Amino acid sequence: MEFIDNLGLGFSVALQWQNLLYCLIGVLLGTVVGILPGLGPLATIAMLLPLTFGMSATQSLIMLAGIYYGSQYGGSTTAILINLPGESSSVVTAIDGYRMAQKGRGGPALAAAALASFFAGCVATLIIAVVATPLTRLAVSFGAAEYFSLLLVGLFSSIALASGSIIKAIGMICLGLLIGLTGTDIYTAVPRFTFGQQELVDGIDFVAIAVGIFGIGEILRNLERSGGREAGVAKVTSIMPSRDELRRIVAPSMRGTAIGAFLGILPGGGALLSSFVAYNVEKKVSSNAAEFGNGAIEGVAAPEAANNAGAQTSFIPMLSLGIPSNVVMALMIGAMMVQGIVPGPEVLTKQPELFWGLVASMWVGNAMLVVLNFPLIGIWVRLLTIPYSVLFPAIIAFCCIGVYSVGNSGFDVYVALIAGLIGYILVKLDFELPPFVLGFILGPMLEENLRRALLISGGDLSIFVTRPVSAGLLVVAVVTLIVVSLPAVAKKRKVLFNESD
Amino acid sequence: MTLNWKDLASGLVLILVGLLYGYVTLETLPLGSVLEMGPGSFPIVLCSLLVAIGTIICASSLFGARESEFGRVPWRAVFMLSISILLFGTFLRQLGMFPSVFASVFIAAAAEPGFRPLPAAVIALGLAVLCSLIFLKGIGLPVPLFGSFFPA
Repeated sequence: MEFIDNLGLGFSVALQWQNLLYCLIGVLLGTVVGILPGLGPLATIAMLLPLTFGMSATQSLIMLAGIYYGSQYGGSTTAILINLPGESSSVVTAIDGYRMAQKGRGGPALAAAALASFFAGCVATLIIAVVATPLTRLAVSFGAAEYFSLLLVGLFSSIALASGSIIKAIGMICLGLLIGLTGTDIYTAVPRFTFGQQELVDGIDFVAIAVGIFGIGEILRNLERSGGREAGVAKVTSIMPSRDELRRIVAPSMRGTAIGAFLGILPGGGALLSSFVAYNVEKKVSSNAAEFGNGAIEGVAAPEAANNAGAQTSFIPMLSLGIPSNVVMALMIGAMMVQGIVPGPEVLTKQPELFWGLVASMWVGNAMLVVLNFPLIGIWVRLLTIPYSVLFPAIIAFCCIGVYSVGNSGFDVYVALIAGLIGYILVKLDFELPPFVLGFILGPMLEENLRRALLISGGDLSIFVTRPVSAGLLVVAVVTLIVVSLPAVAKKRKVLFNESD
Repeated sequence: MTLNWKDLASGLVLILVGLLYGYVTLETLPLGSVLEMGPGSFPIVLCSLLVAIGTIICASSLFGARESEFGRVPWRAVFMLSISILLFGTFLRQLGMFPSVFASVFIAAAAEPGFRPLPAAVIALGLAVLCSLIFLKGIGLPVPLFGSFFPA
């Protein structure tokens, strides 16, 4: 079996001691930022990008990936213990997890979350290993038309992530695409939308935008609400779930894993959507449906399995096609480009150690998280007592240094500030920023493939529908758009997202 | 009839950006043809879409069912954080890592209404030491510890 050999290669890389160390640093950092509200994996990865300049590509990706899935674990810990989801993907975990904690079953809830996540992580690693090679072979055959259609699928499905108005989400995509075009046109070398600024000729740095929006803008939103957070931490006495509880989490974990793994692969998917859908599905199919909302352990296991599976399988489109399915993956692409690696199908063929090492490290990291989380819970809970007045000035300092060091220029720091302020206003106007950021990243790729496809076809627009793969992808894109804008689905989405508030 | 001010403003923002960028595109970038798309063709499509979407949002705002709160803007935070970040971006080289981080953190801490100078100074000092250790000693960023404002 080919994929077993590949995984073997991966583990031989992932188990080298430096790589184990970076994996450990990554998952620990991830857990910490997952626990601290107001600091997410996005801002963290963006701030820490300069830290990775001195590392090898494998090391830096292993660490950054660890931050991403580690934050899912941390986020669920606080969701369960103090009803304060550190990450949006663990919002639904808080519903039943916190009720369990109030009833004195916080320990088993944490165990259920960790075990379900670990199970999902193992399955997702296997899925990546099995799917990646054939998908990469397919990707090599992709031409410009196929890539264009695929990117459209990605953009349209990012609307599904938006909780508010669909037309506003589409507006944000267009705005992101437009701003993303800033810089020199690759075909004609004409500067576009630089407004005479020399610094903009190379385009707007993505790290500055991400740090501005998710670091600085987030702080402004948090400072709106004055007053500290209450620290009513639930007591954790025994961690071991009873045999009955263990039996009850098996099926939800498997269903959650399946949902998460599937949604994670879709562009625009990932951890957040997966956990919402898994919780709602579980509520429908569970034999224990009546207890949901009142401390059902199934309601903890399913979304936790789903968000971890989704977090991992969202690496598939990034690694095999070079297309980010969500904003964290976009940052990973940024990290690869800094290392001089162009993401896409060639990574698998030319750098198998990097690819399989990263995949294997995700399994290793998940195992570390399960082992580490239980003895360290006391420390994690204490982290919550750090007041925000200490935290946010520190975030500002790290944001500034991180952005500055990407290009060694103060200009990027200004860009981050402007992005933060504009992002804050847009959120105030009920716009949502993830579609904007995805548009910003995909804009240049979308335009390049569109223009190349039309050059190849001699200006014939029908190239997008006459090539079967491209046509199929366009159908998917259109169907996605129709489904999310159906009034019934729109209403469902609203309910789904509002429940979490 | 209830007017949803928030949606009206949102729509206007999109229309304005679309018009501004559309104007810049038409003035400076050749559109090209379908066979050979110029640097201006993709942007002009996006600008048209932005204006169209903005118009739809504006139109729907006239029949907006509910008005949502804009909420209060933390002006103090906006102001203090802006100064803190501008200072860092502008004077990092001249001030050096240690004083820059100290000043930026101290000013940023003043963004909160419950600001107290002494604890803030302690936090700023701690972070200045920490950042200098991590980013200069550890990673070796090409930034001086103390910049040219401080003659040696």
